[in-house]
Amino acid sequence: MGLERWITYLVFIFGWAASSLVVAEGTKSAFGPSERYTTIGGESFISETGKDTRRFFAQSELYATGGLADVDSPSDCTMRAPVDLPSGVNLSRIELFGYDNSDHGTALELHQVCRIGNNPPTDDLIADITSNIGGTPGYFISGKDTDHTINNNSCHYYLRAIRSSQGFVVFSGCGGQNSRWVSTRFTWQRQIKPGPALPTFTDVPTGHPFYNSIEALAESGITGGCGGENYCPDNAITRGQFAAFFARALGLHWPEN
Amino acid sequence: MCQRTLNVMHKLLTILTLTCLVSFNCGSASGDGAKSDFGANTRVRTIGAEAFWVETGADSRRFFGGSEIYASSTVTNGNDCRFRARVDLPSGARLSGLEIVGYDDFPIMGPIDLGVSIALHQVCRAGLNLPVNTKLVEVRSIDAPGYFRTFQDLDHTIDNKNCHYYVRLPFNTPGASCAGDTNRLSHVRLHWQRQISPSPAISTFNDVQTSHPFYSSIEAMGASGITGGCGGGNYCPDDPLTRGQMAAFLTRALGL
Repeated sequence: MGLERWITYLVFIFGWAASSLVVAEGTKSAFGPSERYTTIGGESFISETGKDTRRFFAQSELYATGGLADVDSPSDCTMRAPVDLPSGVNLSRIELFGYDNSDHGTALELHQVCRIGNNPPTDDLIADITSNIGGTPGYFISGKDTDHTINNNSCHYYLRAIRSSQGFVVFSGCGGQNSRWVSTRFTWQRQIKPGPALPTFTDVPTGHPFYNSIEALAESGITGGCGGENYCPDNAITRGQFAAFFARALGLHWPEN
Repeated sequence: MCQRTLNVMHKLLTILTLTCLVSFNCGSASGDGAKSDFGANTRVRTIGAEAFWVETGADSRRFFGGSEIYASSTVTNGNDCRFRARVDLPSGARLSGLEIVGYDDFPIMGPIDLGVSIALHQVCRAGLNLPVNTKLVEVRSIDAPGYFRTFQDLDHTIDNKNCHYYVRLPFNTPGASCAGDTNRLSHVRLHWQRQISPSPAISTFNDVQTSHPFYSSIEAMGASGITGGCGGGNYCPDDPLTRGQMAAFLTRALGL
């Protein structure tokens, strides 16, 4: 009983947490299955083309500068930022916080780029958000619910912040401080990978209440079982066994920490 | 115990391999992408085209299709065609390979076209002397036109205490302008595994000698400050772990 609960803790808390030790997220509580947040500020963005139109308003509000004479195409007003979330997490919501004077509006897109074998990469739009075009000028928070599992093995992710998208007829420059991006917030939860169709351990069949957790521990290389192709899920764990699991799981202990 | 574990691991690998063969499910799009980069087996860190910056002032970066970066041929100074991206992996991780995926339409590499190449660099501080910049590995596109994927083995342990890392992508042709959209990069994949740190020559705990099967793990737990032992200079490796002790270990380790 205690061991089983312990396994669940282990998988939830650090079975899916390690990349958070690598990627700074501004919070120390990015562990466990509850909702987590990753916020990307304007500082992460670079211009999509060679004309670097990035400027900051006030402290940290990114906008694209340049009138019609200064830029060649709407693409010169577009920014991109890489997105780095842990593999296997479920992305449940994306929100844009910014400012819009409601002339043309602003848009934000989350893209997933995947590549299998030597085929050309696919670029899919996971979610797009627009400001309240034609509404009251001012700061806005606009969001969309998503249901997407991050796959860093075959894919990578990026944000595209676009000065003008909908209602856009004639290119009129980047628009400057009328449209500003402050931050993008991702809401995500850790997930345990579904177990395989065939069990790895004889004593942990597919119907076991902790089947997914135990399979995930085995697949991540943290446990090889207790011998004889068993995992011994009901045995008490010793302090020595715990140390082995823990040190393997976190890659303890190197001088940086 | 150790040998037994190894045997089990071996059997496990065999089973997994057989599963792969039967189901053709290994390395598919959803394959191990659904795992976090955590644990002792191979992880992949992907660096997408958006993470690259131009090395010099004239920004030659352009995107092709959705997310393939190239250096615009309208930029005529070869120095302006080079891109860099930072690499951030945990200390102690073993880098086992560098893979680049992209497009190269020129079939011959040589004085006209260098193809697509990525070099992984390590920069370490050396007191107040010049920093030491080492090229750990360089991977090139294959000598055939089209989309390519090139992998090269590597065996390097990350040291974030003294060093930092970056990848460098020179999209220039010798003495000419940038390569243009005939040479493109989609992303870089770094293959890595977590490792347990080397153990000291003398054991910290009286009851966990250097020959103990979990010696390196328990020493690593002690060095990280997660455990101070069970009192009297011992660790008590064979005692059951209580729920309270587990709570202490987890919260200390993860800063919960």
